[in-house]
Amino acid sequence: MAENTISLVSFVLTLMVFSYLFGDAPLIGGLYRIAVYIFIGMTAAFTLVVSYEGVILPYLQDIQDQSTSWTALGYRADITIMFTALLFALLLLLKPINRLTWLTNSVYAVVIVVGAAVGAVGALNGTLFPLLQATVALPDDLTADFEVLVESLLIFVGTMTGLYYFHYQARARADGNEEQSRVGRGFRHIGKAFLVTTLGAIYASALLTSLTILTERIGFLFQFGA
Amino acid sequence: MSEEFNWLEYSEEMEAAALEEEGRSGRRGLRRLLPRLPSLRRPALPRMPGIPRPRLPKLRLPSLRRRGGARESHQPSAADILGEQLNRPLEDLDDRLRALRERSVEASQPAPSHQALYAVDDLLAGPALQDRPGGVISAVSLSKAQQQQVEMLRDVVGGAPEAANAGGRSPRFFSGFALSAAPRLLGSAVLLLAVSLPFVSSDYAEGDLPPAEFHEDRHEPTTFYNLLDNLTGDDYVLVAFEYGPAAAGELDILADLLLRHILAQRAKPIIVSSNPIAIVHAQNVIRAINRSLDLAGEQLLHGEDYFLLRYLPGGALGLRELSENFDDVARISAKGLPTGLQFDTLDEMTEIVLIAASADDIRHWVEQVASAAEGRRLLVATSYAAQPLAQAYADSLDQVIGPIVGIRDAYTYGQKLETNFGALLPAEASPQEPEFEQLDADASSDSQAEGRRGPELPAEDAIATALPQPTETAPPTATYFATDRPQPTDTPAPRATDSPTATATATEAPVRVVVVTSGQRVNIRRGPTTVDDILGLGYEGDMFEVIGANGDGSWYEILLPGGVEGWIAEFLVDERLVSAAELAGAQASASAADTQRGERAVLQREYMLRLGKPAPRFYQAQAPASGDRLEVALNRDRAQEIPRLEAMTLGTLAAALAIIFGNVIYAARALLSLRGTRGD
Repeated sequence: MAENTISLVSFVLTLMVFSYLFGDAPLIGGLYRIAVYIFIGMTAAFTLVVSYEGVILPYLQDIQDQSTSWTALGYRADITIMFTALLFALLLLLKPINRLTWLTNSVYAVVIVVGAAVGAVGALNGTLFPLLQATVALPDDLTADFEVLVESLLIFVGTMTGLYYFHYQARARADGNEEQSRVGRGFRHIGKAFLVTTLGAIYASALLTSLTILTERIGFLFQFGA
Repeated sequence: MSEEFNWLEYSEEMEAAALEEEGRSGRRGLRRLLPRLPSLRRPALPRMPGIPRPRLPKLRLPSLRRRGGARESHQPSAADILGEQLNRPLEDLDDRLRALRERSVEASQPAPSHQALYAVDDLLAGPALQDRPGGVISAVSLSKAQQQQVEMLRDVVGGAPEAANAGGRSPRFFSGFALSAAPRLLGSAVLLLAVSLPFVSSDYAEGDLPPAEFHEDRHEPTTFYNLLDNLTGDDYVLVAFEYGPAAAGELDILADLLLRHILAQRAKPIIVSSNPIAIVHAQNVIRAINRSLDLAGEQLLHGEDYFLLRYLPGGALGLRELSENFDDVARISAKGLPTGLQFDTLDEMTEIVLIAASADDIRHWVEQVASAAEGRRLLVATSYAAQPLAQAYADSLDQVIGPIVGIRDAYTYGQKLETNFGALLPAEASPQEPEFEQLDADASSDSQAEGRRGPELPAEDAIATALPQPTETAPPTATYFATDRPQPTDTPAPRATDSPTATATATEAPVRVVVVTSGQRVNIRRGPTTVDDILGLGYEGDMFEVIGANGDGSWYEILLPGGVEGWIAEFLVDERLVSAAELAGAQASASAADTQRGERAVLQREYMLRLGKPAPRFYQAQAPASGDRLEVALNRDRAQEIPRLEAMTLGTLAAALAIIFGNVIYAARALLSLRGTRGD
């Protein structure tokens, strides 16, 4: 019974989403919006529940656990972290009060700065350096592995010209206009070609993903109808 | 037009009105404590004679001194006020005010009705101000290059190009119907038809199905499979679920396969995610696997067969926490209960499997987790949309294995899994189209399998042939499938009931037991008092091994099946001496009864989790047959796989045709529009 109900609700919601094909008109398009709002609302609710059960509640239970001693250094550190987090959460709740918005913004600033720092370090160690190393790495035997050589050269040229595409430095002419050298313009065109090709590949990949999800939904509709 | 109008005087009126309003409202908050400063008023300039004053109605001017939220409210702006002055000659306005009025008129135009995606034009719309050299407005206008980039983005996501709205005159043929929603509906109908046909009939199948093995040029997916195939019962695999319901249509099939493969090897997946909804979705995937195992009565249990950790808040920050404080993260389950897992670092994971829908998730895991756990491989399964980035990482980093991508690779992976595990089926249960419901797989039986193994091979040799060769850390596969489920590392040593060998040894000496005599359900507690936590329940006739007693003999310390110790009150039980075989038999019958009751196992598991110990499977009917793991690997619902693959092929063709057709129409429109402009 429960399975049938879930399937029925899924069927109706799927049809409501597909109603967007008829546009965002108030009558028909409203169905799409309702489905989206339901999805957003449930997502928010589940996020709250999962956060409370998995993140907040264990911290509170740690405090109540009598087997944990206040004298333990690690425990005091945990308490400090927890109260800091609670303080930040309370400050975020002050957002609707205009006069205290600066407090909320201070929390935002801390989170954003720490996040940016972690992201920057991770990007350097995990992406930039490894990809750079792979870009400049050449095979040991160039003649034996011609395919790898060509690939490495393509990556190198694509990287450099792609970077140059976002380089806007130009020389000022006597009449006040700006002029970029022919070589620079050439690099920019090559970089643009790489970028357009990359965007095309990403677009095609996204299209395949959309088709995969569409086939799953269509299959579900036929399965439900059967 | 006879009345003179002075704009400076006009500003002064506004200022005066605002000051008057502030005077009425009074000074609030901390400002009360500050000395009142003299107001700085602009001195009135003498009126210029001879300049006609335009007729203006009485305006309701907004207070320019409101603060904070009031500034964000829907007060009419100066541009709005000017936009309403339709009866006023435009030439009376100077350039600045005329630009403001144009802005208001433009902003009041209805949104184009032919945008393909909801609110895309709103998101991509640049400032509606007209660029005027030297003016203030030009500072906030898009440059020409920026405008081109916006147009490109608008084209990519389906927004309406500006040229179609503003440039040239649309030919009559392409106006009206052609520019309305009809093309979108037509394209959608064609696409839906193409995608739907394979579900109606197999006559519309186009293209070939993916092969049963990964192409020989693609080493990494094969390596991916072999790494999971080499897992053993002592291995823990960190499985990152980084996708929610929106991507479930693509990635569920991959997640299902990978989890089944890990579980079939008796390794324990530890599921984690930085997306709270993905945690909920992972539970659904596990639930679906459990439903497929209902026929055998076998169920995957949280805390024993798999673990679901708490979610990692903060995106990249959460992943950083995972890599640096894995011991802390692994301690808590998604329900906020202790998992009993005791790890120090991520290096203790045998493998890390990432199932991600977006390129950002892959990047975050590589940057924050893989780079911190350099000794561990990152096995990536992803969507088509994230493939380009995943492939770049896999090509440049030895640590990243894969990717396995989308439904086609999932089909190949499933074929490979079923071929290898299906070869373990006995001959009578392994026809050309295997009926997995009739599983009775006993690898140690004398039955011979057909197919890949050949009819003459004995069973064990056949299994060893069918499976990939084990590494030095993995036990021989044939032996592995014949053995029982391995015990958790931190549970007590196996008891007499755990293996036939131990049973045979234990029969030589009597065992001191207690038998529940109370006709009612009795509690088994954590300590020898009634205020201690309840660990489990006992029913009349249940038999437990005695390992001790309290000082006055009012409580027995007993050993529950699974090696967990508890306490039971003396007046509820009788003490006896029985053989180990008799104890095993009594507990087996209690186990059978327990499958009917259920509550006892649930209660004990819950309390074990709260105690922070791996929850053993209490009162399990019998040691699971060796075929249980075959069921995990094979009992999949594959009814939709082939129609979906065929629908993908037809849908891709239809989409390509729609794109080509759309571009032809677009080019024709541009040409005709150009001709119309020249005609003017």
